[in-house]
Amino acid sequence: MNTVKKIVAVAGAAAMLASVAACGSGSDTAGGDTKEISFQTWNLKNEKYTPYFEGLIKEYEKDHPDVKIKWMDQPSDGYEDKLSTQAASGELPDIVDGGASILYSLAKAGALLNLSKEVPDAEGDYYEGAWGGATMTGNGIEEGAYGFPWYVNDGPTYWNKSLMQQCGLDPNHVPTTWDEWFAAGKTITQNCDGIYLGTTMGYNAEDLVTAGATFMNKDHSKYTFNDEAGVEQLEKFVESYKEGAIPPEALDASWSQAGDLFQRGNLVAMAGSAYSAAGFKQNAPELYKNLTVGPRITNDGRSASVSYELLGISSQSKHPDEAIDFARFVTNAKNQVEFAKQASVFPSAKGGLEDAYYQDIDDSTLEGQALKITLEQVKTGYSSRPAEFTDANGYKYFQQQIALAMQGKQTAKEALDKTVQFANERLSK
Amino acid sequence: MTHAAQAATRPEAVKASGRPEPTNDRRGGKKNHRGALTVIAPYLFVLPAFLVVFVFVVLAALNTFRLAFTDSTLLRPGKFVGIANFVELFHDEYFLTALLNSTLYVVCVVPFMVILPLILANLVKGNGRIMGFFRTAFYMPVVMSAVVVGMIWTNLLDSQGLINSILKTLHIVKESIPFLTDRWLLLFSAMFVTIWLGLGYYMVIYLTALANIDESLYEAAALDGAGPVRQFVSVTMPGVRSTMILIMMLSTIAAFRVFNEVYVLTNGTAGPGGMDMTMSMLIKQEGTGIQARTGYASAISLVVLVIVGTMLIIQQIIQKKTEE
Repeated sequence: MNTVKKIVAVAGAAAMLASVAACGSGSDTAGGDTKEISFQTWNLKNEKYTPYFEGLIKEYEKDHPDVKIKWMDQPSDGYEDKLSTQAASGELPDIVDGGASILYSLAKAGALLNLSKEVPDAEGDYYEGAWGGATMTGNGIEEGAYGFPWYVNDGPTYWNKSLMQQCGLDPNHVPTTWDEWFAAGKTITQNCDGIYLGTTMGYNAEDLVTAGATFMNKDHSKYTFNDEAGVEQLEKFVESYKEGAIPPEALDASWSQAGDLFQRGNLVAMAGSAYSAAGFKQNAPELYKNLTVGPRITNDGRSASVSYELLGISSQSKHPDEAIDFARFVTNAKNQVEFAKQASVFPSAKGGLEDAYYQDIDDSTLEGQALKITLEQVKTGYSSRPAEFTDANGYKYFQQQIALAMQGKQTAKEALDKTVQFANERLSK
Repeated sequence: MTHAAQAATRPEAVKASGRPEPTNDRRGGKKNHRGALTVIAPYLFVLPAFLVVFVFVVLAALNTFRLAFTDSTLLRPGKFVGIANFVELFHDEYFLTALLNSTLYVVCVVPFMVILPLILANLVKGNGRIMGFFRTAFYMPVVMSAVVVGMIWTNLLDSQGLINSILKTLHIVKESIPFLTDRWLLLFSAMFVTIWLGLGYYMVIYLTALANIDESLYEAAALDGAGPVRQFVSVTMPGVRSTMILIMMLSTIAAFRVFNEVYVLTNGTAGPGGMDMTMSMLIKQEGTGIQARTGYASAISLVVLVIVGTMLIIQQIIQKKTEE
């Protein structure tokens, strides 16, 4: 009996050892002559998008029988951490999906291919702004695009018509410039208690840039947003905060909290994306009935909050040609338009925005109005946040210093000067 | 069995017969096999745990020590920079803020963690159903996930939350109390949540210790005229002294390394302006992400290790002196 116990115990111990050893094992290539390409997205494997990607992969594999696409999807929470772990362990997927600031960090570490060099003709496939959004330069990075532009996102400003009326604003005339925005804040605080204008307060690059500030110099060697226009704009936000037009929680607020406040009817306006309208319809039907949309607030009529999703190619890929080919397939105009229709985003491939879908938008619904406004913004807008202004390299510090300015612990100029100094030091490292 | 038969089966009797001893050989082989199993089995049992500890604790700790003296990032091995990281630390406003906050956390939270659960345990000891209910109720926060705790307290404490609404409705305050936006109120709110979370856990430890106190001591104290308070001070507290010291040590380590409570109350931003940063949050901020400064984060970790180690040594010295 004892012997049996010991044998079972030894087998158990061996199994545990095997399981520990198994942690490091894995295969990254399919058998035979098949070339396996790993394609990693984030937050896209779900009921809504899985059929699209499965169809896309099936179509590509049919035309390329020697290629096998392994689609992986990561949750949005901790996606950057996941990518960093993959890059550090040399297991970055062949194709990675990410925004410009995520790909910048990988490009700086030499983990991504310079696509301008690898496939010079690709530039002609995408809109100029989109290719520009993927192009990185300076601070040790060889100039070039480090990702194929994929979908583009932006969104309108949603306004609660009932609250506007209740607080002395005209729901038929939503503010579109910063002067109108700050004036609306004053009106609301004079007429309503416990109702705020919005959570916008200079936490994003576009909040300063759309008021005339220059965020960075042309060769990307220095930040410049502490210029006169930047300081003046932040002073207006500080004033607005003191008047009570911005909720105190917004100093720390995550996006979901701003959404909660808006849905609870404590916020008159909120910047959202084109697909937020569908979310309101589903989650807050009463609020949905009271909503109207306007463009993003800007002094020059151009949105500076356009964001580009990119597909980078790992420099360690065993099959870079196939990876590039598949990434170009995913981001071609036909496939981008098909995806954009489902996700209420916009294509970055040339010809995509000329698709019949975008020519005849039904603007009788809030969703249609949101889509139409965003489409115009995407056509003329740009991304004001430089790829190098990452969380670690200044963005987080920027928000912290602005919060201190809001609380009166330092002036707007001090906040921006300190941030510029901090970010410039990080830039040089 | 007859005596003769019993004698014949004895090994010595077989040996004495002068015949070859195949059976004994077989027995000897089995014994050797068993012996080898007996020797190897414990090591095999320990090996998986040893490997895990060695790789994820010992090697990781040694690597942290090495990294602390380099300028490495997650994607770049970096080079030896001597004590440059430590020099930078003491010029980093967020490190100094985190050091102050974490130290304050220890000073304010530990006394409550040592005393309150003991009082609570004293109140809910016993076998009655009601006591069982209270014990479960007090222990409930321990099993809650950090996300749930964050949601509960954020909803209670924000400017439009339940507490502010009640205070305003009762006209106790005119303006909302900035529990989640004022640097100090936020820190104290997080401390309160830590105490609320820890009460049940330490209470259970105290309950075990209380069960070991001889009831006759209370009877003797009562006969001598000691009331409940005097009994608590003169019988209960000395009776659980070693447990109190254990809890003091555990809660000191936990308080200095506080992360969850501040993280969930501030959505990971460390409060307005990052002024509620704690040491663990700073390590996370610097040591994670694609641009993680692993060298710098390791230097902070080393400082945390030294500070916590020093605190524990001081507590040990005080304990020994008190015993003497």
